[in-house]
Amino acid sequence: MRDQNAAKMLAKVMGWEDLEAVPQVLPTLQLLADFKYDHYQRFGPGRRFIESLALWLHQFEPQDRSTALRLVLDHLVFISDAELSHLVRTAYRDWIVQERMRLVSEEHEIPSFKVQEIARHRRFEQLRLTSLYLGLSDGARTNELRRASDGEIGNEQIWQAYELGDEKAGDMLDELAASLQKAGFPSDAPHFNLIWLLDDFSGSGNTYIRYDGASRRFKGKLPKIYQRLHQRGMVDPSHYEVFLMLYTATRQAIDHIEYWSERFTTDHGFKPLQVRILCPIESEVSLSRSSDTELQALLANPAYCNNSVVDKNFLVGGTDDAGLGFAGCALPVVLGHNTPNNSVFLLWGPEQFKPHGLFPRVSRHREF
Amino acid sequence: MAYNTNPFLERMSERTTSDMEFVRLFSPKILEKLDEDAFDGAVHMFRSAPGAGKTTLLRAFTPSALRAFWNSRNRPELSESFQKLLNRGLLTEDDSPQLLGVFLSCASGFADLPSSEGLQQEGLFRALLDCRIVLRTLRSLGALLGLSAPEQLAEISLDYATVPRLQGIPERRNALELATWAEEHEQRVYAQLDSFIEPTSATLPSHLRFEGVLWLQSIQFLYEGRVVAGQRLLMVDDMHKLRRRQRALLIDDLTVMRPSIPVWLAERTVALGTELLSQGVREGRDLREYNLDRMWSDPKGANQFVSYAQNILDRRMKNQDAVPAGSFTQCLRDKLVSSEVRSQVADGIQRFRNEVERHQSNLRYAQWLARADQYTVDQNLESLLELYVTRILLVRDASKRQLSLDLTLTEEELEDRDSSQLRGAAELFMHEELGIPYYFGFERLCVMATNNVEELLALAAALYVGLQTKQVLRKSEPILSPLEQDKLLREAAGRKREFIPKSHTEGTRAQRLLDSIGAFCYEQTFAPNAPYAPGVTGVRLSRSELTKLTAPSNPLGPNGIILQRVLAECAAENLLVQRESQATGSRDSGTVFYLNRSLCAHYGLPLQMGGWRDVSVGELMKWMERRLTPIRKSQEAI
Repeated sequence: MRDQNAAKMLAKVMGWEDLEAVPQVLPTLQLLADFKYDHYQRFGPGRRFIESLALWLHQFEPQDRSTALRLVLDHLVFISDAELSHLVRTAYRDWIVQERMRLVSEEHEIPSFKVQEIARHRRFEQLRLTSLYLGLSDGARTNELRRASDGEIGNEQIWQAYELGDEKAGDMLDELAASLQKAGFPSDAPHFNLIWLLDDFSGSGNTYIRYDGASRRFKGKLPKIYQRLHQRGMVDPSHYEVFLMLYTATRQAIDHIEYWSERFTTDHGFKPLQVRILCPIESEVSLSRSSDTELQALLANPAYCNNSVVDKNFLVGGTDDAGLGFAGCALPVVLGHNTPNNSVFLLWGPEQFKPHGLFPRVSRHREF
Repeated sequence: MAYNTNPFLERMSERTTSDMEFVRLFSPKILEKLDEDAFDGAVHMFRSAPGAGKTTLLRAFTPSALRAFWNSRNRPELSESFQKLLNRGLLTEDDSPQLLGVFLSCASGFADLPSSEGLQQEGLFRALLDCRIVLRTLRSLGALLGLSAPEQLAEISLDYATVPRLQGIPERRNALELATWAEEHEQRVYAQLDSFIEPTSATLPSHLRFEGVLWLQSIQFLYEGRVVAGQRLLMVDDMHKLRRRQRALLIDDLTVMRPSIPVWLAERTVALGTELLSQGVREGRDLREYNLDRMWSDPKGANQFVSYAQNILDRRMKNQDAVPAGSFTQCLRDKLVSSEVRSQVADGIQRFRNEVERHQSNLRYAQWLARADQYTVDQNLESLLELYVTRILLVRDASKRQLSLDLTLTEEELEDRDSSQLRGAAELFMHEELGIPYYFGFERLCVMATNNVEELLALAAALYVGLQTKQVLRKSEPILSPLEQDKLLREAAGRKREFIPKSHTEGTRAQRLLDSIGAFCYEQTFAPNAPYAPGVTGVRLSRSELTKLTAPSNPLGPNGIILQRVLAECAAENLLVQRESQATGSRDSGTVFYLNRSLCAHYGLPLQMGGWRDVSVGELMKWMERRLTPIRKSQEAI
């Protein structure tokens, strides 16, 4: 749809009549749409933000539309594809290399400001070779991270999934032995020392680790990874470090992962997990903290939610009300490629539902 | 592109716009105002507030812009520009442009030079300017000849037969060699400046005179066996960015040199500093000054500015597709319809009735009031205006009347006392008391721009937002009504006032002073008898007050110096418009400081110039430090 027509549609839906409201709202929305929102990857072909917004607002009662628009104007946190890529590009130099430097500095008692000395140290090179990078989902962007390292991450050090088959694990260890040999660090039993687990976003942390009271077991991706790393001899049990690097995560997720992973690693005698978050989303962002009573009423209104999306995967979050999203996170967050279900339903509700979300989500699981 | 930019917010003088875009939006009307002798061999100084169009004017004579004019000579929208350049002898029908316009900006680099006194620093400044003139000339020559690569400069040979003996600029065989020398020379200057070691006078390039100008006016360029670029024009922009000493040196040296080619120097009026308040005419045979702000202030100027403004805005209007319109003026309705302001008219009539209640029994006004009664029947704008005129005349008469025979005043007497100024005041009173639109229509928009293109564009941008909005709202009338124009223009004026503290060295004081002048003028304007109809929009400092302010002995102390600075800066930035007032039998001569016309709209004052009141320097100093609040009405903005 042409921009001008989309704008007219939005004005009609909002019932704007005077010359006041349009210049206050439309240029901002058009600028953001052009800069970010139009590029949401789940919009259908030819569909753009302003018309989607008009159609989305049309679902609300006229008296609720200005509150819904305020949700978009004042609370929405949209992390675009370009922004996420930028985070990934900074991750290697600003985080991964820095951790290696810290380790060398501590092991050999070199002051941390002597960066040249640390970077020239043989141990620094050895740690580069014995680093393993695993993606925890398809959002991990392992390809971008590898390219951002300018060739410092070898092809056999990085894998887009955390479930390594025996054959793949064997190949990786063989390759590691060869590269260590070539660099002058011969070893009969090569192991990885630094494990980097990568993912793009966490809203609640439940998918990484949770405690199932019924079975008295830890579940999620992290327990599985720890087990497998030890089973396959990928790491030297006496000398390794595991980092979970998330490009973005909420404070709720960070606290959850840190708390439960500490319980888990202590119980099982594993090395503690070190969490590294490039762009934390603080608790103030959560809509449940908003003092806007009209907005709270809008989110609590059952007419603006569809609980058909609640399935067994959703229940893992501990709530059965879709309104505030998975685990009641009540986030206003949208990622350029998909909207996390930790956000409020009004943002991610799939297109086939009534009401639907402003940035409809495609689920990882077949939910419906 | 989902985000529609506002075509009135683009600034065409910026180098970011392409030459084709520039010539399409360039309004040739300015060329009419350019003096005939502006292309004579002499130093020509162009001064104005920012946004009056200096850089745009200069850019129009650069080779790439001239070529763009020439290449588009057959396009209807550019035929006027081409014709005007043709009449000036700057372009010809058959041959590509021959005027070599060399554009140089002082915005970067020169102020980096060491500021210490002495011949060596002066020499360094001259050396840097010389090599930049040479380099810019050769690059401009490449653009004029349509050369696509810098290496092609090697094909241009240089003939030094008529060049006087130069010490600083070497005689190289071709343009490429000379350009290489100029680049290296410039690098040497900066290498020396950047070095930690005190440079020795032997290593630093130093020139004893501005040889770049001598070289430019006498060198001959030969390309493909013929002499090219016979006409020359040197343009130096942003002179106000130079250090004070550098600026004085450049102007003095060039003036003494008496160049045989036109040398245009352009600067903001702010470069004059406090000289502005006591500026004498320094114009002579070798230095000619042009003030772009005053270019439009002669009797014909106002009308010319309207057509210039229309030309600029219409060209921009063609550059967008969000608002379907032929011209900008078509988008502004300039007639107010009574039905639009019915409730205000009714309110106004009721007010009139209440206010003349006390005169009902007075025989003296019986005829006037009877006439007014007829008007109260017709509830329209014309009647309301008549009632307001009557009301002002009643107040005037009642306040002036001495003990005399109460003779009935006739209708003829009322008509005799009526005048266009009085009607102007009545119209303004209606705006102030009833909210009936006053600031609308294309002509008033042009007046509000205070002869400044940038201000015109800022106001037009605000109106354009309104037009866009009307499109979005699918209004039955896609053009702006007087009510809408009035509102949008006053909001834009409010934003201008808000911005003052951010754009001035003494911004907060300047804003306080202007607000106080606005409040003072408001008081004078809205006195019930409208004594200075249509209103007061400026204050005057008499010659003796100005002498107090500018005296070298500084009798007013530090506050006097600050006031001098604030006034000068306000005048330089077009926030106050200076006009000299002649001495009469009863009063001294002096300088009137009129408020910028956009600010007049913000303070609710009329747009006509003329009404002013004498103030003292002491009052201005007080206002500058403590904002004056009007007694009659506390203005929202103050």
